[in-house]
Amino acid sequence: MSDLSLRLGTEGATFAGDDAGVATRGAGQVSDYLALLKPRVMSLVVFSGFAGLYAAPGELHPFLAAVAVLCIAVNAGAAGAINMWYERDIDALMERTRGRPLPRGKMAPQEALAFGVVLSLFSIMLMGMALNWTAAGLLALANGFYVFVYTIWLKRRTPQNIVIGGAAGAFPPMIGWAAVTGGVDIHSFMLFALIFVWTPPHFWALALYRDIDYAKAKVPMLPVVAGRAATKRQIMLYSLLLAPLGVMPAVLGTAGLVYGVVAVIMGVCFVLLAAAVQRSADDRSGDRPARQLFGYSILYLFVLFTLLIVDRAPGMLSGMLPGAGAFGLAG
Amino acid sequence: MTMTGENDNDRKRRQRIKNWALLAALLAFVVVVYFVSIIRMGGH
Repeated sequence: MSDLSLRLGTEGATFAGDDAGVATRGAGQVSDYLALLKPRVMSLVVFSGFAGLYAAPGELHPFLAAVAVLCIAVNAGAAGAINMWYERDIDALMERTRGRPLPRGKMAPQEALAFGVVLSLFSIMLMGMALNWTAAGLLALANGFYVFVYTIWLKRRTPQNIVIGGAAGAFPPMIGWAAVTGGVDIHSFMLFALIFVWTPPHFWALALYRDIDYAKAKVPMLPVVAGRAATKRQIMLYSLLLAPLGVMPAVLGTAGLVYGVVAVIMGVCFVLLAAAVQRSADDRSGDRPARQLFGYSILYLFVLFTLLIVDRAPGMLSGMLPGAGAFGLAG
Repeated sequence: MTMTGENDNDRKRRQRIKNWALLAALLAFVVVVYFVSIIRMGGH
């Protein structure tokens, strides 16, 4: 019995990047399938989707609300699985991603693809049947945008991959909103815009200290293609756009006064951290401000969407005045 | 030979766990669809 056949029997062939893993069909464990769903990314998607659903005007049966959040979560995970199937070659090259199930040879690539496609279809159908077809259509759009526009088309071709592809991650609050209202309006569009503009500085901050990884995988992230100085300028530009945009839900009446005040303060802090990144050295010592901005960007979104939820909770904060926008512009 | 037998057993065990997980997921889906239907027919 050769070494190779023993390995095939236990862990599956190490087929990073190719399809030799046909022989390993059925070798993946349940935990490997769960890892395909990118649980950490899913948490932010679920949270922003729930915030959109909760902030939307109207009533929804709690069970249907739970189903809507489940559909958003599963669909995001399914898109992640398809993304891992397509990117298994470059995932094997990057330190951050080489521990994923496909680069480690835990399952055959086509299993990951089938898993992603089936879950995508199930979640979209369930959303349509349980809630409405507008929400289901947006879910399908988000999935298709992430897989076809971001993963397959843009990611390996342009340093603007994050800017345009970021739209995929901006859909969840809009989907949650549509699950309740059955439509899309300026309020849900503003929540979409908030995440859309937040995405570039968030990912470019990460790319600043992970640029070696991206260069190794030949992914044209902005620091790799345009350099660190240009990336820092872009981070600053998007941070300046994000700060006022973060306040807009309060201006439009989607959120209340507390949200508005916190959004102003956190927006200013975001710009200050972006300024610290811009002032930092172009060598590896400049990684620290970039790491700080990356961490803060996650906190920024979590706090704002938490306040969006809290503002709407009965009897809490300015939500006690339903429909009252912080700046008197609520309809 | 013994090694191959153990590997085979391990592989079958993992496949069994996956089968149970798939069954659980399908049953959960059926339950969800059932309750969604009841709620939708109830006028919500």
